[in-house]
Amino acid sequence: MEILPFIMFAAVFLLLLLGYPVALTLGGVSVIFGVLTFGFDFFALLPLRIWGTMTNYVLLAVPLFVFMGVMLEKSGIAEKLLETMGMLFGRFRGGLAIAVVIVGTLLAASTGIVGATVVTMGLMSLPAMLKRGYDPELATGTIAASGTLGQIIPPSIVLVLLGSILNVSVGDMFVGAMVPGLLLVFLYLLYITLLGAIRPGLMPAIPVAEIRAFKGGTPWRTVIEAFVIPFTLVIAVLGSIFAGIASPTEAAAIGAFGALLLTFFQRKLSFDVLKSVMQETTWLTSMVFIILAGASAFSLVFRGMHGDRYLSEMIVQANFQPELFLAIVMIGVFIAGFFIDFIEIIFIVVPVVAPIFTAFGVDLLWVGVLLAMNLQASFLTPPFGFSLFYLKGVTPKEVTTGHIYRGIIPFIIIQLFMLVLIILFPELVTWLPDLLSGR
Amino acid sequence: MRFLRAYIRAIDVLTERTGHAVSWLALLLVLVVVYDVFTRYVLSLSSVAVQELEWHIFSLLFLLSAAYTLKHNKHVRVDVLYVRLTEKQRAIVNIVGGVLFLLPFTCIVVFASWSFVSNSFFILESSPDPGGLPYRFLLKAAIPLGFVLFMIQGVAEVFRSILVIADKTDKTGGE
Amino acid sequence: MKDNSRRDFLKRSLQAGAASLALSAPFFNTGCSKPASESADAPAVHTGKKFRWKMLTTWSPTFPVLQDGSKLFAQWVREMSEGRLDIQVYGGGELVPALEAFDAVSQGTAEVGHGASYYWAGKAPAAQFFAAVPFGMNPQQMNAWLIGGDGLELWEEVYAPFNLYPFPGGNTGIQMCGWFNKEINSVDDLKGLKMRIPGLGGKVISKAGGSAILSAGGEIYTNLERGVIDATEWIGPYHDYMMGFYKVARYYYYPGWQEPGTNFEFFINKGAFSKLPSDLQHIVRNAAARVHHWILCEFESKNNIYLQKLVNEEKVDLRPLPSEVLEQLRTFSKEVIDEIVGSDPQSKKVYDAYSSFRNQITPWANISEKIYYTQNL
Ligand code: NA
Ligand code: NA
Repeated sequence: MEILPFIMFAAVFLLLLLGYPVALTLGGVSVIFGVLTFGFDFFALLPLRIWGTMTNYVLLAVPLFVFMGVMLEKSGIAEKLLETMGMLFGRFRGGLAIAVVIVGTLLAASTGIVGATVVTMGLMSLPAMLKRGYDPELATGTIAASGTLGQIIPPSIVLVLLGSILNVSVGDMFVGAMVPGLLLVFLYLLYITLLGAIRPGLMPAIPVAEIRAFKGGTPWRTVIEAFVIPFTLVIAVLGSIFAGIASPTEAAAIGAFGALLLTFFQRKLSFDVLKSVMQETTWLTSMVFIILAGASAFSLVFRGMHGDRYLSEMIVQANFQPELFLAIVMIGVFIAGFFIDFIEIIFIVVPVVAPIFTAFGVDLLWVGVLLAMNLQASFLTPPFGFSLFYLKGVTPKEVTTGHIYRGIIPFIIIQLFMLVLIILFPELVTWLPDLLSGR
Repeated sequence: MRFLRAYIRAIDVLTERTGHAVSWLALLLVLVVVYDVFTRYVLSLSSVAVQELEWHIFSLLFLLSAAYTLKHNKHVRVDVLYVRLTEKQRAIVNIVGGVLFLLPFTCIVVFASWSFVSNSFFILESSPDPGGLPYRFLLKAAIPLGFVLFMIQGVAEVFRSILVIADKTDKTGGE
Repeated sequence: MKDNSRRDFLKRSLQAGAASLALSAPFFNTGCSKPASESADAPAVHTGKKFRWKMLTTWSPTFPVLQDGSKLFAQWVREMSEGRLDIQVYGGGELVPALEAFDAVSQGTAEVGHGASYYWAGKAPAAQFFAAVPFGMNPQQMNAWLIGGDGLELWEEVYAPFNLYPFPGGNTGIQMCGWFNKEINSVDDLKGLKMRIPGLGGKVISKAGGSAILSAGGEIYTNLERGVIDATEWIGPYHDYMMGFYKVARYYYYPGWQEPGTNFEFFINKGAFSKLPSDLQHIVRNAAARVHHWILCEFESKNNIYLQKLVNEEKVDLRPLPSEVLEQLRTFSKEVIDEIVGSDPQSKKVYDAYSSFRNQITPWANISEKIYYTQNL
C-alpha cells in the first residue's frame, strides 16, 4: 500500500515518454489508479479542484500575459525589439541571450505566474534567437530559466505561500528574496558571457556587415522605433504596479492592452492579426490550464493514497543534526520537484518541517528563501518541470523536448550553486530585511 | 469507415465554431480588466460584479476551448521519443492514449461534476458576495460542458488515427 | 425588477423542493428546543467498529488558531473514542480548494468540515447570519443566541437541504476595523476609499461611497504597499501581525464593526453522523463544543499579546473610528441587511430571530457587560 503512490509516479514518468499530451497522461493515469484504489465516488472531489482553479483570481495573469506576448510576436514588434537589442550589443557574444535574461527579470518583477512569463518569453524571443543561429539548447534553457525567475523575484506566489505557512511576514519574505534573486540573475548573465567566450559557436555574434549597415543607416530612429516604444510597454506594466494603479494581476492586462495599441499605431493591426492573436492566446491558455487540471487529478489521487504522508515521514525520519536535517529536506524537496507541483510541495513538506526548524532555532525567513530557491528549480527539472512543458507549447517543431531538457541543465546547476551560497552565507537573505526594518 | 469520417467531419465543425467563438473571450478579458483598472484608478469606482466577471471569462476561455486546443494539437507532448516515430506509430500512441487516458479522464470529470453542478442549479447558486454575479450555477456548468466537448473531440482524434492506420487518411480536419 | 421577482419565486420553489426532499429523513423534529442533531437516532450500543473520516477545512494547512482548532478537534475525538473514530484533517487546498469544503461534505465525499457560514451565502443567503453581521452581536451574545436561544435550530433548518448538521466551531472575538493609509476623520473620508473588504462589510463600504476591492490573499500586502488599495481589513492583532500589514499601512483602526466576532462552524454530513453509534455522536458533539470554546480563548489571549507588540515594538498608530463615522456605517449596514432580508424569505426568518434575540438581551447586556467596561470596574 505504501508503495502504490510511488508506483503511480513511475507509471506517469514512463507513460509521458510515449508522447501523448502531458495533461491527458497525467489525468488519465491518475484516474485509472484512483478508480482502482478508491472507486468512482472519490472523484467527486475533482470538479471541486477544477473549480478552485477557475476561481483563482491570480491566474488571470496567464491569458493576459500570453495575449501580450502573442500580440507582440504577431506584430513583429518583439522580433524587432530583440534584433535591435542584439545590434546594440554589437559584436558582443550572447547579446540576445542577455537581453532575454533582462526582459525575464523585468517580467518577473511584475508577476509571479510562471506559466505566463515562460510562454510570453518563448513567444517573443525564441524565433529571433533561432534565426540568429543560437544553439536551440542554449536558447530554450535561457528562456525557461529567465521565464521562471518570477518565483524568486518578488512579487511571487511561492513567497506568499511560504510566508503564510512559515508564519513569516510576506513583506520580509519579499525583501529577503531580493538579493538572492538578483544574484541569481547575475550568475545567469555571467554564465552566458563566459560560455560565449569559451564556445562562441553556440551564440554567433551579429555579422560585422550587418552592424555596419545598422549604424550606417538611421540607428537612432530604429532604436527608438524598435526598442524604446516597446520598452515603454514594459515600463507601463511595471509602472502601473509600482504606482499603485494596478495589482500585479491586472498589470498584465495593461500590458496586453498596450501591446494592442502599439500594434495599432504601427499600422500592423488587421482583423486577421487580431483573430490569430486571440486563437493562439486561447490555445496556450487552455494548454496551461488543462495541464493544471491533469496535475490536480494526479495530486488528488496521490494525496488520497497518503503519498504525502509517506513523503513527509521520509523527511522527518532524518531526525539528526540541524545541518543534516536541512540537507535532507533540501534534497527531498528537490527530488519531489521532479514530479509535483510547487504548491503541493509547499503544502506537503513545509508544514511538517517548519516546527522542526523552529525547534532548532533556525531563522524561518532564511529557510523560506532557501525553499523558494529550491522550488524555483523544481519548475525546471526534467521531465516534470512545468516551465519546460509551457515552453514546449510555443516552440517551433524543430525544437524538441530533448533540446529543452538538455538546455536547462546548466541553469539548474547554477540554481543549486546559488542554494549552496545561501546556505553558507545566510546574510544574503537576512541582510536587507534587517537593514530595512531593524528586524 | 464512412461513419468515422462523418463523425470526424461533424465534430470538427462543432469544435472549430465553438473555438472561434470562445477565442473572442481573450480580447474581452483584456478589455474588462483594463476597464476595471480605469474605473477604479481614475473614477474611484469599483464593482464586485466586474471583478467577478473577469475570472468568469477566464474560466470559460480555458474550459470551453480544451477541445479546440486538442483539435489543433496544441496540448503539449513530451516528444523525446514521439519525434522518432513513424506516422502510423504516432497514430497508435494517439489511439492508446485517447482510449486509456483521454476518455477516462474526461468521462470522470463529466460524471463526477454531475451532482456538483446539479446541486448548484437546484439552489440557483449565486456569488456569496453582495453585489456579485448571480449566475454562478451557469458557470459551474461550464466544467461538464467543456469536458463533454473535449471528450467528443477526443473520440474524433481516435477515429482520425484509426483512419491513418487504415491508410485512409482524412484530409478534411486537423491542422 | 419583474425578472428578479420571477427568479426569486423560482428559487423559493426550488428551495422548498430541496428542503422537503432532505427533510423526509426520520430525525426532523418540531417543537423541540433541542437542536435536531441532539436527537439523531443511533444505536446506543458501544461497538468496536472503527470509523475513518475526512475533515476539510477552509483554512490554509497551517493557519494559526483556526487550523489548530481543526486539528485539536480530530485529536480530541480520537482520544475520547480511543481511536474508534479517526479523523484525517485536510487544510484548504489539500484535497479540495478551501471554499469547496461545503460541497464536498454536503455530497458526502468527506464527512466533516470546519469553516465560516458566510462563505456559503451564494448557496443560502441566510447562512451568513450565523457567522458575522455588521454591527451585530458580539461573541457572548452570539453564543447565547445559538446555544441558549433558537439560533442553532434555525441554522440546522438552513443547512438541512444540504444534508448537513452545523455545530458552532469557534469565534474570532471582536475584530479590528483594519489597516488604512488614509485618515478617517469624517464620513467624507470614506468616499473614494479603496478597501479590501469582502461580504456585507464590503457592501456597506460601497454604500458609503468607497470601493470594495476583491484581492487574492497573497496580493493584499503588495496592493496595500503600492496603493492599489487604501485599506484592508483582516482579523485581529495576532493574524494581522503575521500578515505584516504594519509595515505598509499608517493607521490601525478599531473597532471591527464589520465583523464583531465571527462565529465559525463544523458541518457534518448527516448520513455519516447518523451512522455513528450514539457514544461517538456524543464524542463528536463534545469535541466540537470544546473547540468552539478553545478558539475564542486562543484568539483573545493571542490578540492581547500581539496588540502590545504592535503598539510597543512596532509603534503602530492605533486609532478609533470617529463615532460619527460609525453611526453612518451602522445606518448603511441596516440598509444592506434590509435589502438581503427583503429578497429572501429564509434570510428574513433568520434575521428576525437574530434581531429579536438581540433586542431582548440588550437590557441585560447594558447593566452587565456594558456597565462593567464603561465604568472601568
Ligand atoms: Na515575481
Ligand atoms: Na475580518
